[in-house]
Amino acid sequence: MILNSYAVLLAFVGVLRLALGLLVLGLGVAAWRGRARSATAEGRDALEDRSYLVFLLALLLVGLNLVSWPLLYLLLQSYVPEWPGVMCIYGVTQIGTDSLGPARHLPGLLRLLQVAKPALVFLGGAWFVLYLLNRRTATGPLLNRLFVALLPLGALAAAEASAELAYVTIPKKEELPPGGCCVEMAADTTRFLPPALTDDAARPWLSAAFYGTNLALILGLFVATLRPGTAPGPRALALLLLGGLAALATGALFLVEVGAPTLLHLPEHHCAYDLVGQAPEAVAAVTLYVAGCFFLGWAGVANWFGRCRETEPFLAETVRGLLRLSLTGYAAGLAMLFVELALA
Amino acid sequence: MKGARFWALLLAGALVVVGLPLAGKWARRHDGPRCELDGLKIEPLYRVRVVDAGGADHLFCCVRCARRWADRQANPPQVVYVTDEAGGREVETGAAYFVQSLVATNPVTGNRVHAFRDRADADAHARAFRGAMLTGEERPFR
Repeated sequence: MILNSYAVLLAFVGVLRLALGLLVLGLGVAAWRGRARSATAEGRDALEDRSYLVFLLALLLVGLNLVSWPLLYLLLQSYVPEWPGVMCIYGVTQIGTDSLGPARHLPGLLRLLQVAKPALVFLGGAWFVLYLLNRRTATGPLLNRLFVALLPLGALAAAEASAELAYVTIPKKEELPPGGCCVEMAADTTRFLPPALTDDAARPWLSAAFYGTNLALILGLFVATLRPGTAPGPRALALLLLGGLAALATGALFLVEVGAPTLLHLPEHHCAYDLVGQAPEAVAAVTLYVAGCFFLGWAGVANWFGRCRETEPFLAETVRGLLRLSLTGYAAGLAMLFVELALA
Repeated sequence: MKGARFWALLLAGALVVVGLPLAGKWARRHDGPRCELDGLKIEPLYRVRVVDAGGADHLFCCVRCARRWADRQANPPQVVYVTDEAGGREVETGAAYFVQSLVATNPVTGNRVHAFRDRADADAHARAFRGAMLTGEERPFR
């Protein structure tokens, strides 16, 4: 176990999230079952009173999940100097590989955390969007859906916090990485991708695909949010979501193959982790871009899961507001990345 | 009023979008060169400069990185310069003496090949750190 301020902070947040996740899960199940039984006005009032506590805890959990995402990367960056053969976060993610001790679980735990954290933030945001919609109604028609959404949120948060605590507490000092840095990864020219996408000749095409996809998406979002009080129909929204997924995939590829090597001034170095330490402003651009993706997804959640008779009057405006935030995130992230690449 | 707020927000956003990259570039203006292969800061004593087939310079933190990079190129480099560990000056590889010893030039790459301009310095390093002179096929950048 390597104890530094980030490890202590992340462990503290992890313990809180584990407790909150279990509480939210338990109270959510109880409230959901109670709602099924409460046919009387008194029963309904009691349920609403209980829901205040559940929702306050859920809001706290959503906030802590959001905070713990960047904290994980700050912790990993702080671990870099702990091993003489490690030069960036990628090296830290390899600690424990091929080990026979408990450290053998470290790479798997980190892979799980890196996938679960964005999933949790998205899930928490989706729940929050439904919560805001429900708050604007008179009778709370989305209560049932809110309780149902709490179940995966609480379960995933508890599981992810347990994995995080396990990662922080498993001893790492004695375990040496097999390869010092991402050069080992770069030596494998495929980098888990078809070679046609990763060789030098593909770079201009990749750049064109990245900017083309994102500009088309931004244009689509702009057109979709042009008229106040209206939101795109289900088909148009589904198209925007598909465009968002395509833009995300192209963006991830672009960042590794073109963005990171250019920003780091290292044409042979395809490691986005290095941006955290060497070009942190690029992380801000990526954060804005990811926020754009999430807002687009939350617009879809509001449109498909927040629709009922009482939310109809303001649902379109809410979806439009989320799409505008998505447009802002995409446009700002793309513009910032463009400026950074132009200055590099 | 609403219009003024919109333009103020737009201006603030534009300042962040342009200002942050500029601030980042300004903050790194004194950063030294980094190895083109693994991104490590280059220690002047172990620097290797490769002039590629097109005449462009490429800097590396050690002999090992430079060799790995050169192996991946379609065309062999025009010329490779290593740094004399005893004097700190550049030496063309053909005129340099290489010693493989127990001392790693940096722990990340694990490079144990050291370059010297003079034979006496190379022998002294080999004796002090249980090294061996690299000759013939063993020499890097043949």
